[in-house]
Amino acid sequence: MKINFADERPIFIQVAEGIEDGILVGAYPEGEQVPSTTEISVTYKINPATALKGVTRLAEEGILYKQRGLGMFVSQGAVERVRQKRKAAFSEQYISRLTREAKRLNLTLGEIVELIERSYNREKD
Amino acid sequence: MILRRPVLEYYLKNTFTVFGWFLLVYTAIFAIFVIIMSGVIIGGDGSYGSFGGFEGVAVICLFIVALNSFREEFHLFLQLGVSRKSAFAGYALHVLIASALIAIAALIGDALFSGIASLVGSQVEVASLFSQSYGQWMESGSGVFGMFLWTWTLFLSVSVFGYFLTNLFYRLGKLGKVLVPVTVGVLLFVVLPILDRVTNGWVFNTIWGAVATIFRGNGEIASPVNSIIFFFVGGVVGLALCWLLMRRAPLKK
Amino acid sequence: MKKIELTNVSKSYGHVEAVKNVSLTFEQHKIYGLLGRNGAGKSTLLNMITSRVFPDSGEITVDGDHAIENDYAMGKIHLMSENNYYPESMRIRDALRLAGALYPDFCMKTANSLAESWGLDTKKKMKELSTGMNTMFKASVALASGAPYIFLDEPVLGLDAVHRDLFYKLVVAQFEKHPACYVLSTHLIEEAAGIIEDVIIINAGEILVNEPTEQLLSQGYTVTGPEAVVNTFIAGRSCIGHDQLGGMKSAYLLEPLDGSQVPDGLQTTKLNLQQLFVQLTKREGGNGHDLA
Repeated sequence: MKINFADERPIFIQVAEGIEDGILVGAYPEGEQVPSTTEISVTYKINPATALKGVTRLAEEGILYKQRGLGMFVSQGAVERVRQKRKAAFSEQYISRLTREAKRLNLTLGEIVELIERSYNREKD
Repeated sequence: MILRRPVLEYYLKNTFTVFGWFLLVYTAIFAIFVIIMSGVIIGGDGSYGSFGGFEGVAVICLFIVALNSFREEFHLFLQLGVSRKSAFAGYALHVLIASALIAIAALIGDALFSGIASLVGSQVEVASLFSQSYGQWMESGSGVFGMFLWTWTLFLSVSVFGYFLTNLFYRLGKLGKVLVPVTVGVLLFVVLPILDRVTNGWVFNTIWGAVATIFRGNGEIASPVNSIIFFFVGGVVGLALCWLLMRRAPLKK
Repeated sequence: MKKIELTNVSKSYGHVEAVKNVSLTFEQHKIYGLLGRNGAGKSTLLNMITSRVFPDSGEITVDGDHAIENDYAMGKIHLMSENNYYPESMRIRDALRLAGALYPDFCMKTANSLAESWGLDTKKKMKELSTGMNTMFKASVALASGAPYIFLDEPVLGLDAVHRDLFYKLVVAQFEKHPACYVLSTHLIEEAAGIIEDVIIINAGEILVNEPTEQLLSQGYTVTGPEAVVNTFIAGRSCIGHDQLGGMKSAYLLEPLDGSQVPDGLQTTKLNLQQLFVQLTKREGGNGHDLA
């Protein structure tokens, strides 16, 4: 997780996405507990209410669930759910930005596609 | 929540700590004095030493303590959420208690030191301020109690006076700090003598008369009653003035 | 119902109106940021809340009780000031003990553990403390005070980067342990921006801003681009400031961002709290444009 105060997105979204990243890469396996809001807020020096907001959002989306007295845990099937969520946002988050910047640089569609292909082949894993 | 124990304890601890040091110094000087007088003048040649009572030292000690009892404490207590009311109440109660206890200590001390001095065979006489002034009065009945009251109220008023001065100076601005001492000085050393000259000595006579009435009384023998009342009222009025100065005092850096 | 409430509070020092008709509320379970330039009235405000200085007019209440010269109310508030108001010759541990005697919910264990985190020697006297150690001591008292309202005025004075980092973490951790009302007043705005939930900006004695940080920041953005394009864009919008480097201009806008309205030649970025603060509180002509 990385909280960037200069980022467009509100902090609580960054908290949510940071946890999602952790789920995606397996750092927070399904069924296991995620860091508490206290841990998150102390580590990143953010307001606990903000951290809570991020965690609550994930709980509302069913990615996390609460165990009374223990904390928040990763739901079964969370990995897939996060992946789906990211896929849906992929277009706006990455593609639009890419095409906007590419247009600013006066790249043609063909050039854009070529760059994508090259990059994809490089990052084989 | 007007009297807060920690405040009272803080003031008492401060005062008694300083008093303890003075006591030590006094005892040391006394011991040296006695040793000199008994060791050097064995057998004596008629000369004898008179050692001032403890009250004098205590008065100076209390005055100095009082002069240092406002600023730091005012800041400290406001910092820790204590109202001026409570800080003042703590000080007032402390000064009543401390001056009473130190008065008792002084009287015991005088008797003790006298005893030690005569035990050692030295020709040192320890005379309390009170017995020096009101020796005859002491013989008539409530001598010791009167001695205690007098010493206590003396200490009280001296302490309050010191506290009042430091309080006053905290409230005065830069201009005031110069103006007040100068005005007082001018009044005492310039205006008064002039008035006295102009009235052919009436002013100083009246003042002297008042002083005598207070400290000696009007009877045949010197009586401490008037001065006890004077000291006590002075102390109480002084405390009232201190409260007036303190109640709206803003915290300065 | 549990809150500190200021209603139409004013205070002047001679001709200078330090605080002008200020009304504010400080609620429980929140971390506030009280931001203001030097001389903006921050310290005067804090001093009035804690009875150190008397307001000329207005009312201040703590949980409904009149605040001024009221031990019960004052015992619920602790103010960590820039100055050290403890006697020079007092040792840290004695100061902690006295604080413990006067604040009903003071936690000595917390105080000692905080002192340990800082590496503070509690046998030291006040006059022996460096600026940094002073701050650490005062912060320890504040965070261990147990008071429901804790005000921290310039709480990182003299602290190096490592200790500042530690400070913010200690505040958050203590806030979780003891969810009171914390008010942070600091010049190092961006550092503290993350932990501040509600931001209050005071300028020249008046309240400019008083709202949740997130809400405030989501209502602002920066546009950067060629001067002419920027000028066209910002016409009629609430622009609170600008910076210019040759032909490139950055304008700061306090309004919700509507991406579709922004022309292609302009880049938009989020407005951060410190920038916002600077733009809102700098005086005209005091922005260093003519420095280069």
